Amino acid sequence: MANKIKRSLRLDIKRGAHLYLLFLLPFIFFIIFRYIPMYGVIIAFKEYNIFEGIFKSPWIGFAYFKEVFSMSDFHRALRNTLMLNILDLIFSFPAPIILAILLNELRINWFKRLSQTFLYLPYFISWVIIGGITLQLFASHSGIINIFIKAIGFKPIPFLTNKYVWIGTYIMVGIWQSAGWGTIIYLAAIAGINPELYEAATMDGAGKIQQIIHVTLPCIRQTIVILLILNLGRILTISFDRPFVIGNHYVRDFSDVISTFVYRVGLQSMRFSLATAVGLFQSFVGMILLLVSNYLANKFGEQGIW
Amino acid sequence: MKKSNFKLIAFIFLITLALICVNFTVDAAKRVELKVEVFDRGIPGYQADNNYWTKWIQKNFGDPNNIDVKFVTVLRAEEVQKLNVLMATGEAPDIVFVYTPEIFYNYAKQGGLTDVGALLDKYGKNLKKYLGPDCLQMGIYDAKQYAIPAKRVLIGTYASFIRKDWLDKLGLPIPKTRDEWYNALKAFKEKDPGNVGKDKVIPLALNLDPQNATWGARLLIDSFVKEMDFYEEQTTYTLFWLKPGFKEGIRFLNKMYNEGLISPEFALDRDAKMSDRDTAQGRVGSMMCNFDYPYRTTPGLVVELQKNVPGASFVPVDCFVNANGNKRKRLYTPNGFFMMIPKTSKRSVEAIKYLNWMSDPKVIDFLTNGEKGTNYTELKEGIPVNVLVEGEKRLTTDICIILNGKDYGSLERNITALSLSFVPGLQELIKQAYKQSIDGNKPYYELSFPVDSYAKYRTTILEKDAEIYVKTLTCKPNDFDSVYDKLAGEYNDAYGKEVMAERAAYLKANFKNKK
Repeated sequence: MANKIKRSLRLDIKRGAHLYLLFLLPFIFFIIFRYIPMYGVIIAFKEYNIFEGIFKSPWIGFAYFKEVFSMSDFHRALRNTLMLNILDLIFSFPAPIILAILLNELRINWFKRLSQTFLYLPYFISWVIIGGITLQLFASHSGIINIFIKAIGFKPIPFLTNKYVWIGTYIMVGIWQSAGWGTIIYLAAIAGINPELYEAATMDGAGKIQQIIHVTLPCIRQTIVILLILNLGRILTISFDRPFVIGNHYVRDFSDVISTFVYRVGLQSMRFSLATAVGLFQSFVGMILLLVSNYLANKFGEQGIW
Repeated sequence: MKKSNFKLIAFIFLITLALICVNFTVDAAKRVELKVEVFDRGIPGYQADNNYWTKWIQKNFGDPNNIDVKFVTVLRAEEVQKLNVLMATGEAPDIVFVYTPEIFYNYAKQGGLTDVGALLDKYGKNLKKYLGPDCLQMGIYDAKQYAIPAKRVLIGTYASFIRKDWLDKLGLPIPKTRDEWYNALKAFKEKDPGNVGKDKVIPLALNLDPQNATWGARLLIDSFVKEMDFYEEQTTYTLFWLKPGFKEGIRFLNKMYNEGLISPEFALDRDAKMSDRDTAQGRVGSMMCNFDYPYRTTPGLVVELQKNVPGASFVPVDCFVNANGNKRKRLYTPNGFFMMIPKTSKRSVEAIKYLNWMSDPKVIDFLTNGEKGTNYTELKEGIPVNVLVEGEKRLTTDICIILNGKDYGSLERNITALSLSFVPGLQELIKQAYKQSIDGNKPYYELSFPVDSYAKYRTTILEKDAEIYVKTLTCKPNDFDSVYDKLAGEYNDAYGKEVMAERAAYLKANFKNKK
């Protein structure tokens, strides 16, 4: 049996040597820059001394984990991370799907191309700039939107200063920034749908909406499931830029997340071991979630990531 | 290629290599290299590590002592990160420096610094005399001299300012007490003497620096804080919410905020850009800040204000007097940044010699005032008038690292010199502002000394300060007591108790006989 496998691998390489060669470069990149540096994670169990180095620093076991888990700020950050990510999953995850379906229905080609360009653009704007724009737009007294609202006689909306309303602002800005970019992968999946299925549906008397529900969505279900699994695996990680830039001290109770917590308590204080401990915790939980959701996906008949 | 050609080329290559090696070893026997860190501020046309001053230093210190002085640049904006990397890789220059005391303590604690006590006694006598014991004291960790603090001559910190033209319009005198100041601010809001619009007037501008939340109101709050002895003062410094009397100061601010007398969105203003804009465009009635902040060329508050609102005048006002009739002024400790020699450095002797040479008054004069005829031509009141020179002869404050700013030998001359570095017309105001910043019969310092729990919690405490500040200022006056007490209680339980206990122990052991 082993011989059979070995032979087919060798045959495979012989036939497609150039493909394996092409694959070699990113493979080496991942080994050198992603896998080999993993040894550094041991500083989560050490009292890292920058002068002694990673190997000579003394072991302290789970001390930093214990310290972090006893901090009320950490639990707040954990709760906020989960809350914001779950809300993102509910509202921001479907946005690119809906957008892709809508884009797909556009018939006028130049308009379709133009809209796609405009939709992708926010993704490339640096978060620092987006933060500045958010301030200009949404500030309670000097923000353009609230000046307009005040002018027509209503009370200003505390987009950035009330912590509950702030969550809405956070999600909306996130959708604006990433929905367009997210459509790319779904549009690619939709493009691969056999047009005969649509013809068959039309012949059966299906309207536009019904076609979308019964043809488009089931065909891209695969893509949706894979992306959902990946997102679930990342539910404990949250990017640093977005909450850091949009958050402020009025809404700190909700805007302090694991990434900003680690930045403040770990990196700014130069407590690298503590920061690594939190990172390890995130990765560990993320891995469990990834395995579980992949297993569940396979169980339910979908094809998971592996 | 042909075998004989190859042999010839290999031979020449080896000879060249040998000569280069010999050259290096011969050099090494004669001269040594001293690497000194220098800030790079990205000034066009000026290379921080290769300019007129570095060459002068090489000629006047390096050559006579057989030392090659090399400057290692570090971008000002990323100096701490870069320094961490340099220290961790063991490739740090022989002289490095940092402003934050906690970073210095961290390096000392992890065993990364050289103890320079004995070296100073042997090679740095003049330097020791110049800096003085109060300044050098700040560089001690674990009873050893691990850092050499730079000297700071101007120790005034805050002043408060008010729109004198608005006071004149309302017929009010310059406030001499807190209540007069408060009434003036109320009048600014109600009567809007500057005609900017009643809903746009900001009687007191505040912002929220995440690293220094209460900075913009400390003068006011300090007039409520109880007078304490040295030990209690230093135990509670930076633990604002636990200082006796601090609560009343915050209560006063809370009242002002709820009456609309404070910048309504102050907590969104992390970098003071919003409050600077409000001040420059003439909407602000009063503010508290560094004594020279409004007069600086950048961000140019008063300069812009005078352009936007002709006749506007923003003057220092010294009106925060506490219940005992005293003014509490916070002063900077007499040190600048901390200069350190990494443990991995082999040139600690040369480093001390360099700093000692720098403490010669003639050297200080040349490196801070520049060359007569180029960087200054005339003397005003005995102080050289600085002329801006572009290119490699440009004068910066980054070369003379043993001194923070400029030193002319006496406080009077130093204040005059400071005022002359500002735009013409502001000199009297600067002098007034500085005098106010140190005037007060009960000044206080915020000493920093190594306390493990504070180093651990510091960034969290700074973050909590900002959160509590926002919550206690913006809550309704009826809820103030419950909100403040709850937050201060949590703060005390989580960090305050531990830090105060450790500090009290350290003070008792190291600072005897203080009042």
